[in-house]
Amino acid sequence: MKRMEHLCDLLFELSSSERMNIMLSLLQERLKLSHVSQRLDMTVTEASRHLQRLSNIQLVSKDVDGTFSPTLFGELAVSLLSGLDFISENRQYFLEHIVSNLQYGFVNRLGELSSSTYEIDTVKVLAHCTEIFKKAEDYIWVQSHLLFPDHVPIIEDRIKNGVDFRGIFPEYFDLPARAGLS
Amino acid sequence: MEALCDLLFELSSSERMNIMQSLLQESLKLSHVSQKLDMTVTEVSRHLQRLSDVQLIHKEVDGRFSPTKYGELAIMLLSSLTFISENRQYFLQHDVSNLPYEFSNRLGELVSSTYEIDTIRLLDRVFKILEEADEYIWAQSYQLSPQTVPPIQRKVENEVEFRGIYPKDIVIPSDLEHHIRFLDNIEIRILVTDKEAMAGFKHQSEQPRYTGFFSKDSKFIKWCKDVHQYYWQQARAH
Repeated sequence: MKRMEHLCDLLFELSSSERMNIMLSLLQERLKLSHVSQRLDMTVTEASRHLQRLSNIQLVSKDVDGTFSPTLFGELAVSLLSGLDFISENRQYFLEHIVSNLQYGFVNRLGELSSSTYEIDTVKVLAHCTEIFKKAEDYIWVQSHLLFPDHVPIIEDRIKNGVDFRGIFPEYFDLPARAGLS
Repeated sequence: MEALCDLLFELSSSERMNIMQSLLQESLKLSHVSQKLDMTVTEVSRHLQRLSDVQLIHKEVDGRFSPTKYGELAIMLLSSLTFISENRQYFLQHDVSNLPYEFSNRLGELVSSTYEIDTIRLLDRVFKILEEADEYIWAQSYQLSPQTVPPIQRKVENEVEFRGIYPKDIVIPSDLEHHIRFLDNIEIRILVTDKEAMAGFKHQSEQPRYTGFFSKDSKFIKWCKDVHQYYWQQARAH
């Protein structure tokens, strides 16, 4: 159970948005207490208390010149939050969509998707895909339940222009016969 | 960030985390949770309510609680933080940031491992791993230790595939030359075979430290293999 306690302590320190803001500022540049307090609009007492807590758990350390900076451990911990950040920002989506069937190596890398926007409208998704296909210069790799018929001529055109196309579809899906896609 | 902090706060209670772990094994009623984890019904009820509020769990029609898909995923994504918080001293002194993010994001796959701090014992374990390899030995390190050369040569004679990645200034026996590639910066020491693996990150002092994590766990082995494969592509042949 020791394992869980270490983890819970770490999560607790990171569960304060003030402390997290301090961590993010220190990741950009090392700062003195007074600068932290100015930049994040906190009282010196507040900033000092948070820096003390972050130092106690060794997420930050104080240098000889009085500036604070993240430790190697602190830097790593914040970067490993990206997956949880992504799913908590998109909680409704991940309540209804199954990720667990993916290979764990990709599940653990979900945080790499965090700089994205979610499109809920199907018509807009299709229009956006059209744009993506048209703009492709080197390759188009697709995996889906189906290939939307309107996209076929666009993809054919890209292939003629030397774009590498790779499609993965279910076996029951009939590839458009005329397409040079099979 | 608010959403993340709220989630972290709910998971920062070891009681709630224990409840999550129990529910991941089987869905349970309030009274069963209370018995199983030796908490009062009031306590359990409060925790279950909090976990339900952030939608990590939900209540089924028969009154049992079970994790939502979101809850299941959140627990999976904690594995990396579990691993580094368990080995905080190590990760205060060793630098992971130069690894490609696709591997550092997968650090949780190393969670089922043991840490060997003693260099002599580490070397013993390395010999044992080399000895037990049947199919392949992939290694990456700051040097090719002379004592490990004879066992590797024996394995190569027995059709075991050997791939080694080292800095270019090291001396290598001519019969192993075509099994070896060179890399200027060795960011991580790796030894992986079909049976077991070892991984040791770079010490911040730049002075080689021969300690490392060992495991026979399939995820651990896969991680080491993927990392080695990545550097093998980057490295130059002799």
